[in-house]
Amino acid sequence: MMERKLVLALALGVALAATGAWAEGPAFGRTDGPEGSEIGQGGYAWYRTPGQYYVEGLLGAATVDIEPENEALPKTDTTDMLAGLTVGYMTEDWLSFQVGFARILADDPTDLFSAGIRNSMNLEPFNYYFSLDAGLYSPSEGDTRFALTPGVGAEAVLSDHLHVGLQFQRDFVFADDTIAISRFTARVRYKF
Amino acid sequence: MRRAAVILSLAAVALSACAGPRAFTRGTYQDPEEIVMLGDRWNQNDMQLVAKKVVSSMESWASGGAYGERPVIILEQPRNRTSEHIDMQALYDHVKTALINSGNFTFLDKAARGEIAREYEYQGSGYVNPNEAQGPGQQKAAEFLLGGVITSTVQQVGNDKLVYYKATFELTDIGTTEIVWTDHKEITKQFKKRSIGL
Repeated sequence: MMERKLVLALALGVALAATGAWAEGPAFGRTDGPEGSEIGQGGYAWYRTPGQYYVEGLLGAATVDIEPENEALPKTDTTDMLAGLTVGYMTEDWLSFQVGFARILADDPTDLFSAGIRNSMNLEPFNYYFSLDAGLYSPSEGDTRFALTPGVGAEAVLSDHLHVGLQFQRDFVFADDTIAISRFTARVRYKF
Repeated sequence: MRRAAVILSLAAVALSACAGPRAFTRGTYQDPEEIVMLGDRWNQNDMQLVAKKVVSSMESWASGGAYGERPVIILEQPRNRTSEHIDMQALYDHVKTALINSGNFTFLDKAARGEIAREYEYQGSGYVNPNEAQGPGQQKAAEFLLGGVITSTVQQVGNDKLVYYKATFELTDIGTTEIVWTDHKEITKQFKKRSIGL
């Protein structure tokens, strides 16, 4: 319940920031007016001053390695399906802010919440990106922990709105036990 | 299995290196006199503003009639004293076209003199009907020299940049070297570096 409120709060924060960034376009002046009428006119009327929102679905696999602090307990290394959703806001062609949710579909599912940035290098028809998220690791049994999640990915640009690609992420969970999660996902991203 | 996944992911990233730069496509024609500043350099709007000022000022001077009905003008070598490339010839052409079309000025084609001299030789060589041949001795004499110079200063601090242009034009009486007309146009443009959009 707490985690859901946190994700909603993060999403609301991104949405509010995006609304504030909706700058007015510049006035559209002309040079053939009276002398001095050009003052105050200018800019680039067609520039995309507001950003773009996107939604990204992901499906893949996650391997969870847990090494308990108590060495008497056995290590676990499981691989399960992973599914999730990410919502983001592109302030620039190369920079996005995003919040995400993913669930490891095991018998005891684990939820992964994240919020962070994505830095893209656009070489159409392909984009490469690096992401860095802060998040929450929330197993069905046990405490919720903070995690850092760097990731790298590449995607193909199918159209102005649709991208498909692959991503690898590694979750570093801050806990007494050593917990590391590797996520390999295929992604479909739609930009509005 | 995990190693295969890592190798496949790296292969996908490596193969996607076979990509090229984005092309500018889907263009539309725009009004040339609308003010658009994509960058911080001299652009067509600056040229239009300078030409408009020069033309209106010269037409006001000519309407006084102190120097004949239609002053005969040749163009001086343009001078660009800014730190960037400016097509001064384009500016000259813009001014010249407007002044000729006003009907109040006569411009002589200084650049074509060499070509015209060769044409005189050809027309006098016997190949051309002598009754129709054009020869030397009929060219108009220039009365005035029109020249212009553009200077600029740039101020830049942090994310703010201010670019100032001053275009000064003069009309010089060739016989007396007297500057009979001069005017200038000042343009100041302010620019800001964009942040990340928030």
